[in-house]
Amino acid sequence: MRTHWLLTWFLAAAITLSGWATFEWYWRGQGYAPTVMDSFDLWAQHRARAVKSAPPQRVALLGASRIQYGISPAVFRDETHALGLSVDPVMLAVNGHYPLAALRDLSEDEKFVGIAIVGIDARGMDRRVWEMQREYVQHYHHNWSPSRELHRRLLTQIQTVSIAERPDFALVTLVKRALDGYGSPHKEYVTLERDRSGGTDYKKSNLALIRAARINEHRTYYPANPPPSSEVWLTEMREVVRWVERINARGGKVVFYREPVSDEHFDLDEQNFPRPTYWDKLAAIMPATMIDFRDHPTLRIDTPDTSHIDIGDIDRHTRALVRALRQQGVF
Amino acid sequence: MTFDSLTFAVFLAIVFPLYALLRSWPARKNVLLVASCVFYGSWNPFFLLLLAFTTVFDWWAAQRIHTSQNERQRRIWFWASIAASLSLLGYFKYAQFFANTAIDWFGMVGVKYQPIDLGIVLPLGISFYTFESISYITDVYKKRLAPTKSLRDYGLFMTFFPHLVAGPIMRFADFNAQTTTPRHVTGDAVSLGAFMLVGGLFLKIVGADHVFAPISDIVFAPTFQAGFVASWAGAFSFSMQVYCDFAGYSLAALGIAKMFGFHLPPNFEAPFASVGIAELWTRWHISLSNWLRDYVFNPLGHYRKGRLRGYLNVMITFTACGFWHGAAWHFVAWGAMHGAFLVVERLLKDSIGDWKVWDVKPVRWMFALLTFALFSWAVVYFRAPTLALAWERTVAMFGFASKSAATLAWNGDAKVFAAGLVLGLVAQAWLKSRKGWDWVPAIAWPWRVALLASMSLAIILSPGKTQAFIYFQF
Repeated sequence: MRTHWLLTWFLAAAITLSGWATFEWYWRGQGYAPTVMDSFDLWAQHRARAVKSAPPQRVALLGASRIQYGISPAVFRDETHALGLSVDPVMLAVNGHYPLAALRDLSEDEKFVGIAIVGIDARGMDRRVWEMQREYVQHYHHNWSPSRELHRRLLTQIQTVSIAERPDFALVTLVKRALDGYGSPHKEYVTLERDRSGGTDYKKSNLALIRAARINEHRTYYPANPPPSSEVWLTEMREVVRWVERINARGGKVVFYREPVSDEHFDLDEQNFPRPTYWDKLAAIMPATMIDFRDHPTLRIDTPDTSHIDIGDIDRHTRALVRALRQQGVF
Repeated sequence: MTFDSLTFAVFLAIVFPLYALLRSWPARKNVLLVASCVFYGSWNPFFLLLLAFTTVFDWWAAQRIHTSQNERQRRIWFWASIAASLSLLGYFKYAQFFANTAIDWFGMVGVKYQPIDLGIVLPLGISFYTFESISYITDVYKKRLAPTKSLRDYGLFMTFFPHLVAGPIMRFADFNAQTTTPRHVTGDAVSLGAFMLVGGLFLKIVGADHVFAPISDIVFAPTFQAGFVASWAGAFSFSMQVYCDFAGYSLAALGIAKMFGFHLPPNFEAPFASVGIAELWTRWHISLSNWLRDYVFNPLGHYRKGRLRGYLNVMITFTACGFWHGAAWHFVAWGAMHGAFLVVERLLKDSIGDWKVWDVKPVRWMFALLTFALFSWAVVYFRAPTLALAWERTVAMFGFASKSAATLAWNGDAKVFAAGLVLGLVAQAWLKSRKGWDWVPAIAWPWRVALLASMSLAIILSPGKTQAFIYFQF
């Protein structure tokens, strides 16, 4: 009996590993690659880093997709190192989620004494979208634990080497796609690294389609969500001013950075949130550094889909931002 | 850490060899106790203190009950222990519910209060270990059991990590028999235990999360207007989901315990092959239904005080069962429905009697399907987040859906669910006559290899959708 059990386990392990290897070999042959998958746990893992004591100085990169897919923490670290600084950039931006809940959380955390760089535009400061990252914050405070950290670190390790860990390659999902006649999964043009930074590689995508969808989404957003008046908006932002003051009082700093956008996307933003009556008025009352890409020629980087820079421009964008921060006296 | 996490894999890879390598049985028990505390504390160390308090207090109270010759003193210690256990459970699990209900009821008579959020976090597994401690103290009080003098053994009974957070609900006598005699780690037990662990993870990760959850998530979304077909599909899919989820967890727990040489009582034995709801409750969450029978239904008087009183006792027991599951009215409704099914079934059996036709196979299959349909109807009240939504789905299930109601698209999700449902029910029919998992070593080894390899590969190829175990919320 025991011999049969040993044989059972040995053969089952061999078949399982061979099956897994064959699966990887087949899909890699089709041009797919592994990628890290973002999650509440991965966010929480990096959020925990943001409050570690200096040195190095912690720099929390807050924002949505434009920061997550537009800034490289590794290049940021190297660039600041070249300036003689010891900085640890922490990517806390979340694709599709405006970041003010995360900024509020950092302001309430006495341990955070670093720099918060908040990638945001006036629309992202509208009170209706303040809570978009709240779930991430709550997960960090209520669920994050050493056991989750160990799980997430091991999972990240596996995700960097195995396509099988991508949810769109789950066996049942593939069967469902086959039954629906959809064939292989889409070739993803967005990738993510273990430091939560990513990139959009428009060479791997149907750019015209993505661009049209992006503009269409923007066209429908504003009629459905008309912007508040500049007075209302500014009154609400006074609460954010208090968060920033709290961080400043602890020796930290806050930077609001309006990232590059272009074409119709830019035009619609300007029509709904004109700079002179929103951003510039905020700059007058906000005790933070305000950076608008239009004021820095090096930050005027092309955005192929009107909203995000290409993966090939991330390093240039990061270096330009570090230089702008230096210029403004943040470092 | 949960059984399906990588952290647990590391935990098991450290604890099991350490346990197996030790020769001394007390040392092995110490390892298990420490490991169980680490396992539980990994969620929230504060709740470990709570568990420690319950454990030490009940152990001590049991000693007092046993040694006291004075009946009044015995009764005081007994009720003190019961009150301590139920107060903690009441506070952590039901305080918010009672506050909300009071506010709602005051609102009905025109006294308005603002809703309050007490911010209470439910300690994991509190419903399970509270029942275990109540059964221990009751058995000692009723003199069915002599209390243990070993705090370590009692602590191990309460905290033993395979059953700590979601059962099976153990009885002290069963567990103590295993802690007072050394357990042996044998190759056969480890192999079978690991096989059961893989089987449990397969049920949870592949069955519950990938095959069945997508349909129930669609149908029970509050914004979805479900029609007749969609509502039944949602009900069937959640029945299978909760089975795969909880039976998967229980099977993994049994398997892990077996690896360490322990035997935990089975919690599920092909429940969807049952003919009648009464049989179903002897096969579904067996450790809970046994507990309710022994510590609620029997003390209430069983059927001894007459038929009507018996029916009332059934209703009380199953309504309490619903309330144990969750502090919300829809859980109470779910429990009450099961009570009502059991009463009606008993009435029918008593009035119709034993006809030979009931034993004809096709008739039994038909009744088994009817039982599954009844269970699925009730489970709507378990799954729906509110009574109103559950009622809406019930109305649709009986053909009175609104005209704008949607049907389910016959797409990949639905096809995989349908195939999973048929396979699941056939598997249950096959498993019905087999007791426990003894059939596994008996099957030809090439089949065993095929089964193990396909389950393992399916687990590896099923990333990304892992949801929390449903019974962890209780």
